[in-house]
Amino acid sequence: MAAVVKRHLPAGGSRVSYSLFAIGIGSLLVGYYNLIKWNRERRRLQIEEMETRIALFPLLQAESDRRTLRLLRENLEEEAKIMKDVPGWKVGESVFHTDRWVPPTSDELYYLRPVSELHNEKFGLQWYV
Amino acid sequence: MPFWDLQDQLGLNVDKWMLHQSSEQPYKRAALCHAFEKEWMECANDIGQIRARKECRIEYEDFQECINRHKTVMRLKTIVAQKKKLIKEGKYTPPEHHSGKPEARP
Repeated sequence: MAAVVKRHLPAGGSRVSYSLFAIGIGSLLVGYYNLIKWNRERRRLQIEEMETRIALFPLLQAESDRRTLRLLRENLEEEAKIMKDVPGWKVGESVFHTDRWVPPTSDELYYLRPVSELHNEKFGLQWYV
Repeated sequence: MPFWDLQDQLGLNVDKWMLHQSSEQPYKRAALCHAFEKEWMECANDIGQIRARKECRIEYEDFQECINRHKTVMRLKTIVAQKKKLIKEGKYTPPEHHSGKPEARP
């Protein structure tokens, strides 16, 4: 038998793989471009949020300070009531020798209240474990 | 006192920043016991250990109290124990806002 039958096939042919590569890499590049734009927009929004917090900070700090002082005052009065009959107890005595203002710990603020309030104060806004 | 004092000679601060809480912190955030440590160090600096133990005892005790809070905890525990005793005897009721309900005002 003679050689191979003449085959009527197109001469050469474009590879599909090149176009697939092009589509893949092209979609990557389009994705990167959109990602970079959106990240820059997110950074601008984040800066705005931080500036809002900075602007409101004195108000929030003042509220927090007022609350701390209120809790300390209430604790002082409760302590006076509780330790009325204990001999030699000085109400509101500071454990430090200095008379500088020492910021109170959260234990000092909430020790007369249910322990759930202390847990709320310490971990209420925490999401990580 | 140091023999070569390389870091001061060369103007570097390679590890002196980590030796105590009162050194300069990033973002200027002071430690909680910054004031106590500063007072103690200013008192006890350059006078030698024997003299420092005698003369700076008060500052040192305040500094240790700030870190460990032993005296604070003991004080709070005695108050809470007395409160429990009074509640058991029926002589003391905690006020209403101590019941754990959420507060209405900040």
